[in-house]
Amino acid sequence: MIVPMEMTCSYAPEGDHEDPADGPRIFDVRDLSVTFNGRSVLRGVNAMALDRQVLAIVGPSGSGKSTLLRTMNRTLELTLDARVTSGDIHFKGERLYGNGTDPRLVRKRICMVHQKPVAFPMSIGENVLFGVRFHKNWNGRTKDEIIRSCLDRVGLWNEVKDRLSDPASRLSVGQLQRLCIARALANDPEAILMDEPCSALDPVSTARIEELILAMKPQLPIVIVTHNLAQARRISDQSLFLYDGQSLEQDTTERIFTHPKNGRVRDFITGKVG
Amino acid sequence: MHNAAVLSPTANMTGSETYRLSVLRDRLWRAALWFCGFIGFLLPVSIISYLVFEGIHRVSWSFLVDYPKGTPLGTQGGIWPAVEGSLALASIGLLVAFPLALGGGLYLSEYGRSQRFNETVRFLVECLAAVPSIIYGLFGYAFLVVFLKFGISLIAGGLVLALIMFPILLIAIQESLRSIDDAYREMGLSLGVTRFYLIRRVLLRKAWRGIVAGIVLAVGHAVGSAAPVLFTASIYFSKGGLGLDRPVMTLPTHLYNLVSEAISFDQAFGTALVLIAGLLIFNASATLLRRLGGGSAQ
Repeated sequence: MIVPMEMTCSYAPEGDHEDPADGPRIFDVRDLSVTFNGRSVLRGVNAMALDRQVLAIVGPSGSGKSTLLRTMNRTLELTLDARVTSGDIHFKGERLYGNGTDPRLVRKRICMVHQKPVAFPMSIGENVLFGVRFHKNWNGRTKDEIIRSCLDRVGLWNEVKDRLSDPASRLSVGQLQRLCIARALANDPEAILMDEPCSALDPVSTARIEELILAMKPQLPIVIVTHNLAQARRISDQSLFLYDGQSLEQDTTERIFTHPKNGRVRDFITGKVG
Repeated sequence: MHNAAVLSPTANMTGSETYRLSVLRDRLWRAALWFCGFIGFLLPVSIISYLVFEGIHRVSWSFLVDYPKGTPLGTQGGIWPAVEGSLALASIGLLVAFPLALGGGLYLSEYGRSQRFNETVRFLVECLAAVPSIIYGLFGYAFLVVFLKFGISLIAGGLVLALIMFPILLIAIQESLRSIDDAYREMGLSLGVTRFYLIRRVLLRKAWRGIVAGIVLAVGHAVGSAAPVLFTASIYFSKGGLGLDRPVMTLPTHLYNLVSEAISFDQAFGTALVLIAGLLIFNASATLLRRLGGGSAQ
């Protein structure tokens, strides 16, 4: 039975309300609905992400967090039978699902870091250059410069500078996740999406990724899906709470964790429901 | 006390009758499985040892590079035209079948979005792999030799061997690609690259070992098949030299002739040993290549 929910999403599409925080909107998710195999997984989701801020998407398992994230760089359509049925996402004012929008260019501009870090079967250096070689995104830089700057940004340069030709599969899981972030950064993305990037990592590696997210924030908007409420609180400026495919509440992380307006959000945050 | 009885050292360390029976059953089961595994070792070793024992005295450099001589023909001399013919047929077969199987395997694994179509194609390909090689021979004879007027020739035999190799290669390539974790695809495509780029740079490198294993299996199967080439490419005697429109001698058909017409069992064992040794060398080279390729890819 579907229980009618108290909808207290403080965010509404641009023009209707003030933003919950200052700054230009980078992502503007408007009334987005998604079906998978005909089953509704997102229903009229509204959300937004601001420039140079971290938006954390939280909520119980199966609430549609990863699905929402995957709509934000059009990787959703790589899944058979998954479809955006209504609504749209505006990225810097451009429609992501508009006619003529090339999904590959969307993915180049909005890169995604996945839950499970994956080493492509090539050297560490070539892993960094994977997207650059395809997009010919050299921008006057040599390949060594790109490798060094990207690995430096993720704090991996000093650890691997003497073995850039080694297979990437020799890295530890924590290093590999940072390599995946470096690979995404090499594309010169305008935003980064992260789908539970620390779920496979130990606490030390998790701390490093969190430091990295905070270090990248001044340059890029970041949207992160996490199950870890403490992590959302530590690193995000905005939080969006999803429940059963609906956006229940979005607000500044501080407000949502201290004064949630929605009863379900309150119960989830206080641990009354999991 | 009840707990003390349960934790009694005697009961725990020796076990009950039922427990001992379970352990005995487990040992018997393990012994039976070991025996089955040992058969897998014993069979090829026995066959190869027997061939070496019977044929090694016939194998020499001149046996490899000379053409059949003597009366009846084949009692003396060597088997070079058969070696050359087998190599040429296998090469043509692989050159034709591999690109087609690679394309088919890639389509079914990476592009085919209709599950029903994929399953139908896969079912048909599996049926094709199970067709006895003599049927391929008959088809090759009727269609290539007679209908297309290729005649008994190297090209007709090579195309029939390609038909035999195709389903084996396609299944191996598709399986090899399917075994790659989807995380590679998601990760690659989410960087905005095309599927072709992902296939070229990541998936084929990951699937390399399985593809090489498929090539070994397909070539081994095709080179050892006598029936299809008997109908389409093979000739009783040749002095060597290749031409697409000319028939060739092959190792399996030469072996068949030597035995079926009781020409020379000595020569037959020598021929069989060369055929097996060739396949072993090919297999070993492919394994080495796979390890080297796999090592650099990882």
